[in-house]
Amino acid sequence: MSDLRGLRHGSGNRLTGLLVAAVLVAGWWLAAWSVADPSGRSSPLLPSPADVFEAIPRLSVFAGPGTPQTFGNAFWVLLVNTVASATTLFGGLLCGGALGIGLGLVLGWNARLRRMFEGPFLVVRVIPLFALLPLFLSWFGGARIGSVSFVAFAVFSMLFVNTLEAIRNVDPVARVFARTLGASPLRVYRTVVIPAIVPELAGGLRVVLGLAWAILLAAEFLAAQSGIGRIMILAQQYFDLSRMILIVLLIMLYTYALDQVVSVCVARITRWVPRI
Amino acid sequence: MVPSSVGGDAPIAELVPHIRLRGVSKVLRTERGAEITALTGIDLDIDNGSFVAVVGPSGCGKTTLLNQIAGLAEPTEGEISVRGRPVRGPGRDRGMVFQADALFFWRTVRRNVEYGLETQGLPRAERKEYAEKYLKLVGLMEFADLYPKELSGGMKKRCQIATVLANSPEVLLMDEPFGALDYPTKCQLQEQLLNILAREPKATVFVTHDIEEALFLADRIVVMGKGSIRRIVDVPFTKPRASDLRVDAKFAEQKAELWRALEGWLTAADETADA
Ligand SMILES: Nc1ncnc2c1ncn2[C@@H]1O[C@H](COP(=O)(O)OP(=O)(O)OP(=O)(O)O)[C@@H](O)[C@H]1O
Ligand SMILES: [Mg+2]
Repeated sequence: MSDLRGLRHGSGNRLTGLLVAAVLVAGWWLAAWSVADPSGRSSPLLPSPADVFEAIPRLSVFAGPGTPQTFGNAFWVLLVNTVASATTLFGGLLCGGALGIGLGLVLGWNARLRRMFEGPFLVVRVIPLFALLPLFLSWFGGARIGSVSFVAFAVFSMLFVNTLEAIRNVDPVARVFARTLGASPLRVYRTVVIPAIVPELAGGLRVVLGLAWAILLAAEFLAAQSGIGRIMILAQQYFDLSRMILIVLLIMLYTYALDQVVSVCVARITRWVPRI
Repeated sequence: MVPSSVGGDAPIAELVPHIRLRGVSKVLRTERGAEITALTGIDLDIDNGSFVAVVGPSGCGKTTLLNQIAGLAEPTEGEISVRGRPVRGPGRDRGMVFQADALFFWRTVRRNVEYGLETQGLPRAERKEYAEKYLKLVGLMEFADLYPKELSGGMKKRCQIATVLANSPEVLLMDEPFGALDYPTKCQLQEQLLNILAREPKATVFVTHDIEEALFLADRIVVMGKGSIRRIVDVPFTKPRASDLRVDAKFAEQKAELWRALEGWLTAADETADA
């Protein structure tokens, strides 16, 4: 019964999603058509979906001047820049995540340790992330390591706070129960605290992932030599809105795909969490 | 490393748990800074193989008493020793069935029951064997591979009981373990508990609100009120006890007598305490 309802709910959601997407595209088309000049040429400020599609081969230019404008070359441009962005994103996530969760776990072990270091480390909470971007640019210039460290820093600051909070929320009864079953404090940490914080960390990670992606694009707008953010800026320099919209659509696709993958993983590792 | 008595028959001589409480008091502090005296001057001795039931009104300090013996909190005053050694912190020798849901929600029922066995470093095959023995005992065998969230309230409690028993502690502390169960299941588990204790003698402290349960299980019943022991009643029935003791006329008589006396002990003592 509940399974059935769940299924219907799920497919209902997907249907609504598709419907909303269709309405949006239709709206876009209508808007583009209404601002087109009488001869039928679209306004450069609002290209129609067809214009955007036709702009795909023009992406080839970003592989270097004189590159033939073909779908193949365009695809290659997207691939190269996607790989560059993904490397930065996952590099930053990995470094920042390992550091943030690692430090959180070390400080979470002992209340004295936590009181001593938590204050200074929580300063990261009040640092305005985007205001730091120019600093990172000054330090690293356009080098990719600059965007990686910036993403890593952002991820670190969020997951560190998240980890400490999650440790504080662990059910004390489970911890104490493990102790009465003969587990040493270290064992309790390993076998009770760490598994118990996973759902909260996974939730945090999901938020962080979305943010890291936005932060990465910001960093690439300002500096990087390659990456999705970089070709967005190049397209802007050509004042080519079709290509800009194309890249925005691509970013939307990536964000959606990433979130889908993460939500499936999160659902898998948090399946034990009691819900009412 | 191996639990001393699982599978073995003979009680082992060196295991002579003996709980000794002397002048135990506990003052608890509330978040608002007020002090609550949860226990005052508790003296109690419990021999190995002896079963003590603790009854008393809600909030009289029963859980607090168990926490002190388990080593989860230190008494404000007084001494607690187990087998002659003062209690300092929790340990595997004193198993406790908590009043609250104490479960490892990220583990399946089976892996919950194996937790203590893992801690002892038992190999996988033995862990499985012991875990299944206790899962069968509490009637959860067919639910072994579910997560705790998929259990009912009473099933959660039975999972906790199996986890504690599988770890074969020398001292068994149980805080209203059967409170959430239906009458037949409760009776069945009571009998199984007595069977286990007959095979593996432990010192047991069992908190309950159910006079009949206390009479059926215990050698002595400790009546508590407002943080102190008001009376200790010796239960006259010998062990082993068969389930038809419940319908015995003498049993009913004892129960009625205890009921009548209980209120008197509690109110009389409260009046003197308040005066
Ligand atoms: N963490 C705590 N902080 C302060 N006071 C507490 C705390 N836990 C319990 N108390 C107080 O200690 C007293 C005894 O509580 P305890 O839990 O031992 O009662 P109990 O006999 O187990 O009751 P019940 O039968 O309802 O479980 C109560 O007055 C309660 O308000
Ligand atoms: Mg209680």
